[in-house]
Amino acid sequence: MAYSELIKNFEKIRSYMRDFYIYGFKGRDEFNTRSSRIYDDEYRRVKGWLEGYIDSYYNESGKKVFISIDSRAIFHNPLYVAFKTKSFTDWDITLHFFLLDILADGPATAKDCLTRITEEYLKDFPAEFPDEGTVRNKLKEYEKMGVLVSRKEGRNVVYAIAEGLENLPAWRDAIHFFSETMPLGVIGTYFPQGVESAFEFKHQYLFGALDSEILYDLAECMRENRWVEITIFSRRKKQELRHTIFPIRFYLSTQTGRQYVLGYHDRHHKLMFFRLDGIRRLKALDVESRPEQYEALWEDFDRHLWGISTGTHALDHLEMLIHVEPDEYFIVERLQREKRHGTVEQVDDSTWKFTADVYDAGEMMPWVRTFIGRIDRLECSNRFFLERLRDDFAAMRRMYGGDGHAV
Amino acid sequence: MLFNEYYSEYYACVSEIINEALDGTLTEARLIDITRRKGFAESVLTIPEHLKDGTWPLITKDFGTPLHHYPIHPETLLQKR
Repeated sequence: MAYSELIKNFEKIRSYMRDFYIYGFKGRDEFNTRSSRIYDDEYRRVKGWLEGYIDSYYNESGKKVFISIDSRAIFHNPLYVAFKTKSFTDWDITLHFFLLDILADGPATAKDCLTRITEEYLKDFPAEFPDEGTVRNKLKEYEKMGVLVSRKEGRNVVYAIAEGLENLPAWRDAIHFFSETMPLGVIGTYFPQGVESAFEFKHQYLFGALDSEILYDLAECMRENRWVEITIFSRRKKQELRHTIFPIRFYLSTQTGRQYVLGYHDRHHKLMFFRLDGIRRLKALDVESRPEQYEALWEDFDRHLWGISTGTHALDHLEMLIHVEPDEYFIVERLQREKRHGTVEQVDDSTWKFTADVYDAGEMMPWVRTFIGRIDRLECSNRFFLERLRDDFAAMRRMYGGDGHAV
Repeated sequence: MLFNEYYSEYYACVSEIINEALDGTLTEARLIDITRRKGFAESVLTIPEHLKDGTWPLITKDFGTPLHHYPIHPETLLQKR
């Protein structure tokens, strides 16, 4: 098949872009493809879409290609461009412009549209004419998308352009902000971009954009209270695995940028997290007749979550005494803001206690470390947590402790 | 559906070309220029050719257009939600 910049199926290019961007360690001969010609085509496509953002380096095993983006130097996530590359037929694009042009004059039936297309729009072209079925299908497709509306007049169906959003330019800043900060932000880039965005971002997680289609399909299933079958590729077992879950919530990490779906697993009978970037595809299944039982399960489960680790044993109990001077109330405010499901209480004039019962105290380690220098006492029922912290302190002492070789 | 040709960069590019044709200022050079600016790296190999040879009968031989109105792009339900 002749090469085209456009693609039919997003999932295929998604896996290539993820391997280029997130890993960037693979060379041409490490791709699991039927032929190197396929690698060359996909590389050519991604390079064409992301011109200026592709870089490469050489090591002992050859050339490695990766996507290189400085989030401080861009106004939009460049990965969104992949969502604007769907292939189409010649009639798709032709009828898109013809039908919207005809309906701009006023409502019309499919037959009216066909008459105008053949007698007026195509009169200067040697092109073949579309049949009425093709025109009707395109009108129905656009009605389903919300672009057109229809009404019955006797035996005829009359189509018209649907009402647009009011005062769209006034929403420009909100749309720009949404498109770069929220899940499914790619939808914001479907609006006319017009002027440059007023926003720049110092820290931005870009690669989550590639999982937008999965996130959208899951969100639709959640809206309809449906079970889903997700297909995941296990790198450890080197095979695809299928799981049937009732999706309940999305979890988005501001620390790592990773996106997860939490769902009730029908075979393991428990709540489990799945990374969205690991999900290859999903299939909507039946509607759950009693979704409220899973909502209640989630409320109970969420009470002891710190991140996404559900642990393997009883809850870890952690207590931390923090020293706070009278003019350092901002530390208390920070504890209140970041405590998640923990509690914060004052012990005395200069001491505050943070308490939490979580599935896995190990997830709290990076956060606990930010209070080093203020911790009067730290207790945890998970001895591995305390041992790890002590080992870290010992390593720091060796590095900075001022022995004879210290710099 | 999130991945749909309705939001295609090609549609946006052709839309701008039709705008220029309706203004009476479209030329071969402008056709190439708009495609280079609005399309992808290799779009210049596809879009101008399809418009000129009538595969997409949207631009006439004299760089006019059979369309009467500047192309519109009504918001979909996905965008409205």
